Amino acid sequence: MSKEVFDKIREESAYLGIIALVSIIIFKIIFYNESMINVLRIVFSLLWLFGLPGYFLMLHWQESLDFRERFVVGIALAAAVVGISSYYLGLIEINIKYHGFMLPPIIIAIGLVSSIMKKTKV
Amino acid sequence: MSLKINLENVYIVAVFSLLLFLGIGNLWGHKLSHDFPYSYFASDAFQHQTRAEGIKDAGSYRNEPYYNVFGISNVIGYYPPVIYHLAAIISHVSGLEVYDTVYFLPFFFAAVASLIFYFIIRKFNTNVAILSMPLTVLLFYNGAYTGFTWGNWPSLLAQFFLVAFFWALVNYELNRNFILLGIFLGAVFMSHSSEAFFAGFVLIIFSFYLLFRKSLNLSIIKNFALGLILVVIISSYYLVIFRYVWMERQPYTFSVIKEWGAPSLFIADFGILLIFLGIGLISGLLLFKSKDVAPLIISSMMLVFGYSNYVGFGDRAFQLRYFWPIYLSFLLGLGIYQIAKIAYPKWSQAHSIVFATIIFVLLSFASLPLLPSYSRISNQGVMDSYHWQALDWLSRNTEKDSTIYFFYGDIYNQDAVLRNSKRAHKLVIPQDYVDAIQKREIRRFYDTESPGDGGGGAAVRKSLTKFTFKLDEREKEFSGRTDICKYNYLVFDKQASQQAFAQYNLLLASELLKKDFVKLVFENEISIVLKNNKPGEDCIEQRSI
Repeated sequence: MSKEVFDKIREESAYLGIIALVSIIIFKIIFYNESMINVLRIVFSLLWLFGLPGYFLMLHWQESLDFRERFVVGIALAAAVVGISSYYLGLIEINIKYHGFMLPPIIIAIGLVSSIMKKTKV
Repeated sequence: MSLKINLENVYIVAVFSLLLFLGIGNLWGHKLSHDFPYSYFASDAFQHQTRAEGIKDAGSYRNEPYYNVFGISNVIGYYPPVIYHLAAIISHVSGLEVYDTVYFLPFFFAAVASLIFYFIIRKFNTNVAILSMPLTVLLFYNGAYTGFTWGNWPSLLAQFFLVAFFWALVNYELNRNFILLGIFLGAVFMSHSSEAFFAGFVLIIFSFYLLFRKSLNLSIIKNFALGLILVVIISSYYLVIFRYVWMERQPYTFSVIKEWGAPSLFIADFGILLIFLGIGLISGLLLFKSKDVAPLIISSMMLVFGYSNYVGFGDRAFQLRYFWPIYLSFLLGLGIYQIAKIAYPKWSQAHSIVFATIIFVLLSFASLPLLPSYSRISNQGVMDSYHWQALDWLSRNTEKDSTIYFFYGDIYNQDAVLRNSKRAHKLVIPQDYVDAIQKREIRRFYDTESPGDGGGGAAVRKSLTKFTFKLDEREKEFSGRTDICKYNYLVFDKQASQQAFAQYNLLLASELLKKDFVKLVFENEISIVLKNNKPGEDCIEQRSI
């Protein structure tokens, strides 16, 4: 069952790659007075914090929604999860400087496990 | 994929890009990073910037930065936290300054919200969705644009999550949909709590809508209920703060206002587009029985709630209007599509894309009577590099427990600016300064205010649900005549729009420097910082000039 999920991810990873490339181009056009390194940094940050985690969280609904809709809504879902989780992590004294690096892999893992478990149940 | 779908994808990407280009792109001169907070136009913007900065410095939002709350320590972090955490995290990951990331986020998420609303409308009809998008350019039009430039960022972020909540609502049939409802509504509440109440109203009305359509069943009710339970769980810690701080200090009061102290969006601002909005509204109502018109429910409810200032919701209603270009876009799209179908029955998606592009161009670049259009702003705002240099110097080179007294400065009326000193601070009251200048007096005592965030009453936690409001205990300290000699650092502007202020500043500074324990420690083209090494001692000779 997990093979189905990974097959889906493999199939859609091309789209993720296209999104990353197009994002870099778009951001460089929008911020044409900015250095390329800063453009790459912000694009990477947005994809790392919202794009990828959101994509994996929304995999749970892959049968019902197409890739575009899942990716876009996934940004909102990841932003919500990251923002709220970060607040609570801070309250238990895990410094915010670590959140940007620890939260995305955790969220990605949760999304992956959730979609595999859903497939398994079905 | 067929060419048709690819065209739609190109259109979606183009809409997103255009919104960023016209919004944050133009505003920031197409740069991402700046040497100081750029294009900040009001105190609220600095309020949120300094809070986010303080959270980044502290590593958490357990407490408010003390310099934000009158120098009082251990004040509970009481503002809805999400935007600050996101800004700080992006700053850490990207390397950009917090003052850039916290301003970037509302623009980025507004553009994403437009796309999410596109998908809401798309469930109804793809052509309508395509034709609806041009209205979103008006996010950056006159009164609506001040939501961004004047710092209503928490409300904008909350409304981004509100749009996501609406998406989850119209997709109520999704398996385990309550997870999405709960997370999005929880994020609304923890970004800017007032929007969550409007979300609740929409949930209720949407439930009646489903009942009308005979779609409401036990499974959906259970789903909605689980979503609400999830909201309570994920916002539980903050919910206590909201209940025992916000609701104590700023309880709901029925207040009817026709306008508030900031530019706003009014329905008349849509000009000639009102014709299409009206046609869209009427068409939607006519389709009510035969078709699932979920976007109509959302559009019409958000239009109505935008007028709730007349029924007691005060300025919260005006904040909802910032996103009217998104909420009402369905009405525009439907209105145009209804006319287009009559005019040309073979209307296709390609036609919609071409026509929408034309509308985009008109709303973005044309200047025609009765047609609203994008308001280009490209201005550095209140802050400048010299003031920033001085504030940054103060934050890095003064003792943490030192106090700073700011004399007159043109930008200091946006007093949250001063929190960038990251120290307890006071500000001279300009009227008393004017009085001293007119009477030609050098004084030691001036009427003084304590800028700071009093919204939460400087609440200090005593137990889970008990807070002491330090603002009430120490209110007398925060205003009145004060002795400038008791402060560690004194800041003067060498230039001002009124020459008399600048000259008086320099005169005071030179008088202070006559004392051997007062030293010049910082100077640039705009600012002087003096250090008083003997706070409390007589530091200036009071006399007539």
